[in-house]
Amino acid sequence: MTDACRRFRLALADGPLSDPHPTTCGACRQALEDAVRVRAALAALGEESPSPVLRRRVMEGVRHERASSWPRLLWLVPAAAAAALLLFFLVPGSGKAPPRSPGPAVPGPAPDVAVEATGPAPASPVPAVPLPSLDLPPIPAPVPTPAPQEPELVEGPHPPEPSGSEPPLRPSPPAETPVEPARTPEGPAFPPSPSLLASFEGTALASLTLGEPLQGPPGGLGSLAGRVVLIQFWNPDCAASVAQVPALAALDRRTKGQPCRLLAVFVGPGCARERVLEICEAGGLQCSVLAGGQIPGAALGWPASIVYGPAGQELFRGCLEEAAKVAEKAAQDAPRIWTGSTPYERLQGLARQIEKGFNPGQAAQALRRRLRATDPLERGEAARLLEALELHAAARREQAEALKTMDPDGALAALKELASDFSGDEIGTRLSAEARRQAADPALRAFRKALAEVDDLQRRLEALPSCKIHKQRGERRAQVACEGCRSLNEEVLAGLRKALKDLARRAKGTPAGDRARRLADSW
Amino acid sequence: MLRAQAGDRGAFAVLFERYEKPIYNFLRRLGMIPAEAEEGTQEVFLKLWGRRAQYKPGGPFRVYLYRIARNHRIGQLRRPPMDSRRWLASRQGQGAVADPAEAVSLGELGGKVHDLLGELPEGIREPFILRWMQQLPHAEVARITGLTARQAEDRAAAGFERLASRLRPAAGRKA
Repeated sequence: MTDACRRFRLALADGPLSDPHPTTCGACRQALEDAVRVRAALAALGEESPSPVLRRRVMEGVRHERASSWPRLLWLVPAAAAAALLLFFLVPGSGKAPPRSPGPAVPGPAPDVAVEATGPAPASPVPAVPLPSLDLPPIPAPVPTPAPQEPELVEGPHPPEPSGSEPPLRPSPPAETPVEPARTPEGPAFPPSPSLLASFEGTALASLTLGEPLQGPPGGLGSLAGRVVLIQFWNPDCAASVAQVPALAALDRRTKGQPCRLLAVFVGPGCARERVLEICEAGGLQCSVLAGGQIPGAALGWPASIVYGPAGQELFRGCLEEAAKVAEKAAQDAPRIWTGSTPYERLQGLARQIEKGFNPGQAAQALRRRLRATDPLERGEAARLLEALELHAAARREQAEALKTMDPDGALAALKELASDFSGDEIGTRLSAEARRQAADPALRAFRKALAEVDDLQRRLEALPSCKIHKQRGERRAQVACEGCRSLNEEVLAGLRKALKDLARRAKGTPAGDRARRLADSW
Repeated sequence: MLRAQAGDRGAFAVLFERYEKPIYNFLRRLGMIPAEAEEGTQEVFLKLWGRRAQYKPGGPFRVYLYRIARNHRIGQLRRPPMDSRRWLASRQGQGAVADPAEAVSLGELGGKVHDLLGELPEGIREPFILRWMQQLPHAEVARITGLTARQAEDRAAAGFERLASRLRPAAGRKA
């Protein structure tokens, strides 16, 4: 092969060539024809797209990821060095170069890019729930407690900052709105929120920075739009705060189904998450509990409450009893706003249609038109519904994908996660009901049973003794040639076919049943 | 990447947008089933973000990213247990199209290519996929796979030859 031939063939992968070389070289002409054929074949594979929820999962993981763990692990470096030195001197022959990390590639020079080793397990994608220290300068520091598990309760309500202004125990004038719009360092709970934030710009609610959820759905500002919001500040080390938890739980139950959202923001950077959750469980508190956050405005001691109106304006800040009255009254008034004026009636109708399987594309289009409305309340509600619609559609796709990959548990988990995202909302109630229905669905139970049967048969295959093939990789087990394995394969296949046919019969008409039937037929 | 390294999530989102599909398709063509490839893509990007401090500019960013994906794939190959879904997929031959619906959507030719790719030895498949499907230059293929440039060229060419010989019309196929 000449240099010209080699150059030509190396460039074949890059697409159509203008090189005249093949006109004079028969072998390269043949290679060109082959390349056209190979490219056409590869094009037939097409480019696949991952499911749209992947982006959400990754960005959520990124959002919840702690800062680099290097500073915390720096102490390991000298320790590892010392251990390596010790090993070097103690273990004979350990000074030799370590074997090359195994992999499919043949040896070659290591590239000069910085790449992590292949050995260690990847960083866990499960986001740890951070407990950020609350960025609320006017709030007094929590009572120091030596043992967070058994904190000493402090008598009476905690006093506010001595030098700060007293918390106003009367309705705040709605005109006093902070200038800073909601711009959290973590970003809003869900990406497509700029329009939503714009609709609340300038209101008191917009300058609220929500902390990380310890319990309940994160919600984000989108879930607060157009609702009466009561935020309770409390501290698990404060006796008065803890004493109010049952009252909070009762208020949460009373306001269920009303356009009122209760948030409990716990402020105690030294407290353990478990302690907070224990208190919530003991008091029956099921609303969202957030760790930290940022509330602009005057100083607050704990326990203290702030009530925001459906238009995002601050209605009250002070004690819980008064706040509950204000919130309940505002929530009673809110339905009149929602159903009395035509835009809200239309939007609520639209929401109901979306839930009933209304054409999502058409609904999204209609909602996007509402985003251009002049009324900020209408814009906010449209944005909230649009956000819900997008999440709903994404979760549906995720669920369909999970069912397609024969993972009914994954599908159910996706549905439950979605239901918890919208808990307390009409969509959430419907989704919870659907999740319960799916959990009890006999077809899906049968599907799970069939999968368990497959697992069992697979375990039997792996447990077959005295066969070297079993020490090989799992994929090869299906292609073993030894007599024992072949007969077991037949047995496994027959069992599977039977189980799948049975499943297809019982789950007829469902995606799981269709898939089982196709698989059984294909064997 | 430098902006993402400084903690800019927006820049990271742009990177994700740009490389999400190539990485997913790379893992798919290496024989992962869709659920695994998706999980792999997620792992790759979370690892990229989690270890952003270790990124050293100097080479093309995509080489760095593909190396992470490749390492993930190697880690996945080392994992011994296999769940029933993957086992079901492998019942129809290693790397074969397991899902009938997927086979229909790929079409006859697509299914055949899928199988042919699965039959390529690992050492040839990777350079071939990177060169012919991901359209990366030989130098980058070499850096991703840890080969010399010449080895990468030869292996991609070997993959091409094998695929081409199987795709030639019956009359023209060499004995």
